[in-house]
Amino acid sequence: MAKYIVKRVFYLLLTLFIIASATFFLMKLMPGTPFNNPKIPAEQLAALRKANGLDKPVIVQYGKYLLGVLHGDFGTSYQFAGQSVSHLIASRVAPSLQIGAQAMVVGTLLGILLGAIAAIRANSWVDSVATIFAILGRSIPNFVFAALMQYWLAYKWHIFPIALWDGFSSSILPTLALAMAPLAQTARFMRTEMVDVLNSDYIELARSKGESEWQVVAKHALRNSMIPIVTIIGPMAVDLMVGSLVVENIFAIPGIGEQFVRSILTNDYPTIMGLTMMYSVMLVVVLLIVDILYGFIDPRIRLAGGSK
Amino acid sequence: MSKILEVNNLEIDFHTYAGEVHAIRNVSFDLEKGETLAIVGESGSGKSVTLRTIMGLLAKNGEVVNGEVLFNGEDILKKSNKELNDMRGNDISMIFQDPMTSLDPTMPIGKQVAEVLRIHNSVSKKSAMEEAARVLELVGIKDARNRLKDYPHQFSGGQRQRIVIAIAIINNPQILIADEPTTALDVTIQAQIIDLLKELQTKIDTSIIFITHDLGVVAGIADRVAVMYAGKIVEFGTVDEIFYNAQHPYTWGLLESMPTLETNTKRLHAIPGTPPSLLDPPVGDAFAPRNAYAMQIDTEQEPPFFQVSPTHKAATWLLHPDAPKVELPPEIARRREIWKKMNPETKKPQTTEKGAD
Repeated sequence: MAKYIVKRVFYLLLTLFIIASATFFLMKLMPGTPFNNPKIPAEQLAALRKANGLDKPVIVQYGKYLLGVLHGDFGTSYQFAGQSVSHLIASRVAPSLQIGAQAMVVGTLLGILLGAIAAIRANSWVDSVATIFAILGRSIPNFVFAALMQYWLAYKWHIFPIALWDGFSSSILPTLALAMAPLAQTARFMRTEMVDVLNSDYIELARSKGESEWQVVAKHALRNSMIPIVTIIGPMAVDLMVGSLVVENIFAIPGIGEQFVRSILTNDYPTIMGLTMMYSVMLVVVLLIVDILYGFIDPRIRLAGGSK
Repeated sequence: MSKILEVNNLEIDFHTYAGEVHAIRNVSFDLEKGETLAIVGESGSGKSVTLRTIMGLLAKNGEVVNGEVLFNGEDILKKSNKELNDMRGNDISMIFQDPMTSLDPTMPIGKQVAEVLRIHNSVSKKSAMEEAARVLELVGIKDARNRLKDYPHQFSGGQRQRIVIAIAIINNPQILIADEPTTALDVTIQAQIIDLLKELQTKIDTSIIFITHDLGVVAGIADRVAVMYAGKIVEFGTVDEIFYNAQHPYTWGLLESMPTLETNTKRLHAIPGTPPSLLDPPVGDAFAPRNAYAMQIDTEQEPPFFQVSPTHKAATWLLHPDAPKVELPPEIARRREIWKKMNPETKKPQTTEKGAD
């Protein structure tokens, strides 16, 4: 197991290096410069470029950039003069991470629950209701839920704050809006898998042992049904990162998503690269955790991975 | 000997989109204490459905229309879920067909064996594990104590079936139901598993109901045999009666299609045709369309059971006193000769009609 993880971490670092390099060169190919205000005089422009190291050959800039990344230094934002990118991200990442993580936990847990109930009561009205709910959750974009919840739960009934970032209660609505898609997806996967599992031979054997239906589900069916859920957690985490851009805007949350969009619009190279790296790190780490989690749930995978 | 299980006039329908499937049509049999009863028949003849009903594990779309299943005099069909759970895995337990899929792939085998002990007895985790190791050794898992934490995929098919058997016998059940336990195993392992079951039967003093479509296996293990066709028992008798004095043409067909050392035909016999659809069971004898010996009455009226001996009965009009004498297939005639040698004093079978319920 340890050997397997070490190997995976090595690949993880390699992946990040490739992403860092690709982002850098793609950025260089982008049209325009960070300083494209036509009113800036040529002399001043040259001075600005020099100050930011943009007058040097690309390969030198690349080396400097990589060196910085290794030290956790992504340079200085062009947009907010003098603010380092690391500081910019650090100050804004907390709300995004919080609602992302909350949505992930709420979405997968409720999804597993809903899917399991639908499977246990397969082909009954409970199953139909769960199915309709899951299809709606998957096909309606999260900003629609966000707006509806703002209208009813905040504006009409005053249960939750309507927007802004002020304590845990203000994180509930964005979390719910963001959780809808993973919830629906998890529920569908869980239902399909669990219907199969409940018809499998080892469940029949568990029943023949004299276990109650509840024991059968809790001891044998849940764990076996969760194997494919682990697979979709990775892509779902990516969905949440992207999804949060819109939701953060609707609820006026000072998160990282909003910052990302603005930095692209203004050709703020260091910020774009810093944020891309941050998202990449999050993604590859999630994928690594998912693979390790796999081993814990399914012993067959644990051994296959360890003996490689 | 006393009867531990009695199945009386069992009728089971399945509700399907195509309509009502009459899967079990008036099945009755009994099981003596300590005996092994084999139920043979081709796929879809209702063997497994019958046994699942005894376990109280009938599929949700199945409905018992009529009949009773008496276990020690109590009707299993009238038991509550709680009572059924207390019975399953404790008084009656089951061995499944495919050992590759019948163990939970995500749970260590020690826990899977100990679990069934802990459900029915208040024992500590530790002593349950010790007992699990003891029973695993008993069924032939070597070094079981050190393998309790291993997962099913770390065992071979034969070993897995031994583990499934350990789960089935750990509570010393009164009835052990084996649903084609050797079908998925290769022949040498089959023999080992059969020997193991016979050995365990004497050790824990249990009755066995053994489902199979392999008559070779039946000869090796059974005391009595029930032959099922299209949801009915068509012939019932001791293992010798079924093998050497079979009366029903369907049983003849099964015996003819079994390779033996004595026969030297180039091709094995096959019963022509396919079993009838039980959505709309045929009038008369369900086997008639595939039966070379079928008579007019077979298509009109269902044959009742004719008693051949106190232990042997068969549902075929050929046993009716007015039925014409038929020439037996060579293989069956050969077997009759053996039967005559085994029972020199036997007169012509005394056939008496027994009401067909």
